[in-house]
Amino acid sequence: MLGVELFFVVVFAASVAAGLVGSLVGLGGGIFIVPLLTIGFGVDIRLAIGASIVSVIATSSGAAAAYVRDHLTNIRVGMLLELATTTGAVTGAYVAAYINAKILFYLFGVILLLSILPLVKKLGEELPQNVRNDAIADRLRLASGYPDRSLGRWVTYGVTGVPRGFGMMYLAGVVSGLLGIGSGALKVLAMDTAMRLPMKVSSATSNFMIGVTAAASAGIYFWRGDVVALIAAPVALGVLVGATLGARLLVRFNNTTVRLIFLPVVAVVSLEMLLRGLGVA
Amino acid sequence: MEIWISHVLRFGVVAAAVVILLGLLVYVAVGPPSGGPTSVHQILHSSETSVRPGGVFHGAIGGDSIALIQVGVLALILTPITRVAMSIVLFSSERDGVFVLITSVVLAVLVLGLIGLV
Repeated sequence: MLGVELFFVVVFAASVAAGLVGSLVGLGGGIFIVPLLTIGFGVDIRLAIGASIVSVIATSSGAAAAYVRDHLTNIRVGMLLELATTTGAVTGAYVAAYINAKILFYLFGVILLLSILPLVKKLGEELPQNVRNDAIADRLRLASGYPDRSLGRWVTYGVTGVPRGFGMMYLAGVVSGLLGIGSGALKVLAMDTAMRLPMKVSSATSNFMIGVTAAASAGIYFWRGDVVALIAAPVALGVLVGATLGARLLVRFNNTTVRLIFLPVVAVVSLEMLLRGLGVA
Repeated sequence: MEIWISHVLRFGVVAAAVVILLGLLVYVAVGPPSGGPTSVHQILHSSETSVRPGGVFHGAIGGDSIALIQVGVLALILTPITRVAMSIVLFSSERDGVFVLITSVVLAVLVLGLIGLV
């Protein structure tokens, strides 16, 4: 058996790697923490989810600060949708207590596989055309604009499909609260496909929302005793360091190459989780 | 104001990380608090006992490593909640009643989730 100090060092180092890979692939650090702790260290999945949700707050709050500064985040859209994600996250955290561990593994595998899709398809790469604001978007003045560096001009955009986006966001919140992840991929999907926001705005607004969504369920996990201090501490510190490094490196690497290298890793991890859920592994 | 909000986010995360690191260092230097886990096996199989606010703050003041980490985790959870509270001020300074209401409901959900009333 490992000594306690060695355990801290190994978990910290592994969490740095998870945070690094997570931010390079564009999925955030949280999604690798649960597989790492359950498969790698034999941690109970509920305690792994508790440690993961805390690390999600740490990384997203740091990243969100940068995006707000770049004016990419649509704060009004984010705030409105946080109504849906926070109530969803609270629902998820409560439901998680009554769900069998095998089903949690299974769900995790499925969600992880689904998260790869937007990365592979690179959906909504060009700017959405002819988006008419819907009634709610007009009433709440959700349409906005941002400075696009690669196009070298100011881009204005409309917002549509608010009710559908709101519904999808509630589901993203449930998934986040249930599995201890940021569910950024689902959030981007909702804003991109339902509300037709430009991709850069969707990603920045999703990052802005992840910390608040995670904070809604983290308190429930914390008081329930599912955030074990000595597991959560090295994980949160490690993911924070890894994600910060990842954000720095990303500027130098070609995004597509990085994804091609790591996507097989994500696929293997999700299959492993699925197999556990099915009781095979 | 937006810039201010992003500073609060950064500061909250860094402060929380420092407290968590401190707790971890105290655990390594002093050893586990009385009744605390002494082996990896015990850490991994911590029985699910609910955490009480009184115990956390008393312990942290007394230098209990685990309670210190828990205070850091609470600070981390409070960071985005503070951000939402600040946004209410931002929207009310813009006299945007609808968004003051929306943001207040978000804050209410977060606070209820934090104190475990939902």
